[in-house]
Amino acid sequence: MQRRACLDAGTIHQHYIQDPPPKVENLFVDIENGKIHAIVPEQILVEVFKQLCVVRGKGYALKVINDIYANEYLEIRSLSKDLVAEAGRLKCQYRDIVSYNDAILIALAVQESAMLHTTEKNLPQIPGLKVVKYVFDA
Amino acid sequence: MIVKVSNKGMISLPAAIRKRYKIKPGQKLIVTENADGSIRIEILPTIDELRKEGATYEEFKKILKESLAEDARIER
Repeated sequence: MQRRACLDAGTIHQHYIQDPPPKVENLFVDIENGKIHAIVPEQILVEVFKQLCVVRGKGYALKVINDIYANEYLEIRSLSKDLVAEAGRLKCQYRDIVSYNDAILIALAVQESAMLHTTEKNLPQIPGLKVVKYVFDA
Repeated sequence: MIVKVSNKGMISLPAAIRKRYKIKPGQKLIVTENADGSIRIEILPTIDELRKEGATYEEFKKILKESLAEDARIER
């Protein structure tokens, strides 16, 4: 059975760095081979663009965004009313812990029974949420 | 080089251009509209080309740390 995954901006960005960690490489190999169906809320791509823009400028950020849209290895998901409501509820409940983007990702991951792949260290314990963390020593 | 637009809005890239830029059937190209009214067609870079230009792991960690701190300051 195809597994499902939701990816945060940091996880996507790592796919494009010069020396991606093996854990990220393996994740994207599974996505490209169709073993994992990866979903990303469209808002998260704004954060990806911003991170890339800060390190390598607007031109490079645009190239990567073009790659994401053109290669279709990620399902880019628009927000539904249910997702807006659930993400909003999570942000309200955990306002000091989760960002808006994290609230959207958590809501989507739970809704889709997907594994959340994240670089965020501090996420609250939420029923039904399964997480793979990419933690750094920095 | 001049190309003609078909009834379906399609154009054919001249063979010489396809050959020079190694453009293969099914390959995706980026079409952008410029501010001066011109249209630009670009070849989508490969993942290896994008990575070559991308951040190093150390740079990535730094930007991620800064981004998280920034978000925490602005948003929460």
